[in-house]
Amino acid sequence: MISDLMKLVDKFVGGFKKRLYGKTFFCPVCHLELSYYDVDVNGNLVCPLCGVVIELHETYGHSIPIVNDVEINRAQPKKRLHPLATHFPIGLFPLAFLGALIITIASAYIKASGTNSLECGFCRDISPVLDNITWIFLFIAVLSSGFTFLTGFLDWKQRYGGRPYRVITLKLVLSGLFIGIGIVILILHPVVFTAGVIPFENPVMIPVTFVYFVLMGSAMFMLATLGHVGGYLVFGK
Amino acid sequence: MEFSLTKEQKELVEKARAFTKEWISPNAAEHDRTGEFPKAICAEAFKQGFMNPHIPKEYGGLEEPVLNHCLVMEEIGTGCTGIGTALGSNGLSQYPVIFAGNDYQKKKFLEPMTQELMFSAYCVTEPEAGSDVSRIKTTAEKIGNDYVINGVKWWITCGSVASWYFVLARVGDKPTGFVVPADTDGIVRGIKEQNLGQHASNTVRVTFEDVKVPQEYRLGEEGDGFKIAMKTFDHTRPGIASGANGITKAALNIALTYAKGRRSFDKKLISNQGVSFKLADMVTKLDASRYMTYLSADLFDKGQDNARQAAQAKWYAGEVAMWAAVECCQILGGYGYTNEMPAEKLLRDAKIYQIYEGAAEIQKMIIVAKLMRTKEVH
Ligand SMILES: Cc1cc2nc3c(=O)[nH]c(=O)nc-3n(C[C@H](O)[C@H](O)[C@H](O)COP(=O)(O)OP(=O)(O)OC[C@H]3O[C@@H](n4cnc5c(N)ncnc54)[C@H](O)[C@@H]3O)c2cc1C
Ligand SMILES: [Zn+2]
Repeated sequence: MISDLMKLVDKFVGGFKKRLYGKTFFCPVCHLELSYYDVDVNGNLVCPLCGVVIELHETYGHSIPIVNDVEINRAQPKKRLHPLATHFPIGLFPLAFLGALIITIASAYIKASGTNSLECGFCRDISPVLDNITWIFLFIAVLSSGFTFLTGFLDWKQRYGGRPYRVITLKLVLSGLFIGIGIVILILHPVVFTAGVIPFENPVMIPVTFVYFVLMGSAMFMLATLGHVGGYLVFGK
Repeated sequence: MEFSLTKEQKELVEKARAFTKEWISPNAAEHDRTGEFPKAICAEAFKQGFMNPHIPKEYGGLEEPVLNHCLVMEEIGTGCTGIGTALGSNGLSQYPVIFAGNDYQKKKFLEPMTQELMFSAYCVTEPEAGSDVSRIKTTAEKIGNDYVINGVKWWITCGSVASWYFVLARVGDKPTGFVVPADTDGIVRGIKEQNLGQHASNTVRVTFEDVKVPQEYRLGEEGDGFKIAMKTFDHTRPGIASGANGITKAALNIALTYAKGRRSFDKKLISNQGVSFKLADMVTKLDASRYMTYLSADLFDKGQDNARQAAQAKWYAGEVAMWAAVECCQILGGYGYTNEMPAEKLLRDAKIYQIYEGAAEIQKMIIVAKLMRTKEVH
């Protein structure tokens, strides 16, 4: 069952990668997977990870990357701000997701037990506190993702010479989307969690909560992809 | 003497080359790394008509000449001989049926292979008997209308994906060939062997424990087995030689591309005669090997005895492939030694051509045996 699921995920990710990267080959020095799209008009490509200048040839469908040069004096990221900044959204957003999930379960429990039931006292007391923490985490995660985007953009311009690598384009697009979705979530959050719980007595709240979690889920997915791709770009295979 | 391919053969080569570039070369490293059997690629090869080319037309096959099969296997081998072995080895077990089977056996075992993707395997070698096939110990005991087979077959290509096996076993002291459906009770397939090269190909041990086979599945008469098993090689060795030629062609192309691109001492590698002469040697030996291979296939297609030429082609192509792979790695220097480039894989894949379907020494024994019967060579 789990292996079937993994196979399905692999197939999905594989299909997505194929569409994004097209044909790929591996840097013979640092083993980073590189896209044919990243090769410039002269048939050259600077490996974003190790800096070797690859002249890409092909024979009989075999990729033959030939290394004739290396960029050794590549600018280091400014005070390593980008790698540091990434930890805020990556660390805080999943916590906010968890918080929202717990409050939603608590709200459903309150609704199921009847609004005035004494049993739910704990839930009713604790939910607003958790909601405040969740919102603060969300706020810092979204705010810091703006900063992360900015530092990442500067790194790209400096260290990677602003070259349009597919993986960096992917990072830019996903970060932009994450910030956009993050702002919508910030606006939607107080509407969903009115007074610290979700008022499920109001039937409209079910689809609204559903939309909220779809947004949260896709933001989580983007964040995971961004983290994975970023790590790959720094540490390689 | 005619040295050019027909229009249809040229088209076939173009088609096989396009298939290799799209399906085989780009996936070669992945299958080499994971050892996964290339079923999806075989399915595409089946769709495009590259599998089972020898099956006669009356059983739904293409009945292609061996020469055409050689042309295809050379192209595919230039992409990956591991995948090439996976999709080409059916021939080894099909030919005993084509050569010695009756109409019922051909309908039962060959026809379905033209309708859907299926595999079959040739079970001759045993742990104690490889080159010397006469040493095999597997027995087939006649009980009523059935034979009961007991024995261990070793290094069986496609052994764990096959739907049926060609099995050589002894009935008393008579080596006899059988076709055995793979789902028969008593057949145990071993795990995939971790070989030096050709990782995409599936090599396993197949054990037969009281496996009951109806006598209708016996090929020819009792005692015909050795002849059937050996005659098969006249048919398959040109194809095997072509796989080896594919390796030589890949080695040449990779080395040539690299030598033209890589710089050292302020000039391209190819500007050094020490490097470029290797390329001249490679292309010359490739041509020699190819013509030998094509001749051995052509003789077979014309119904003439090709045993010596097939042995020469198989031996020489294997030798050249191994040598060319080493030279290719040398031209690539350190990059010929890393697994992120296609050169080192050629080296690992080439070795098997000096071993399976009769090791190099055995080919020489066949050549010498023919020479012994020749007064003078013209
Ligand atoms: C990957 C792989 C796939 C295979 N697939 C199949 C398959 O599908 N079906 C199948 O039946 N078998 C298969 N084989 C078995 C293969 O055909 C044998 O390994 C081969 O015939 C050699 O036999 P052996 O290993 O027993 O070596 P041996 O016979 O023990 O020989 C060892 C060495 O001694 C040499 N030698 C032996 N006798 C002499 C002599 N008289 N003079 C000089 N030198 C000699 C041989 O050339 C060899 O180099 C496969 C093997 C491998 C490795
Ligand atoms: Zn690199």
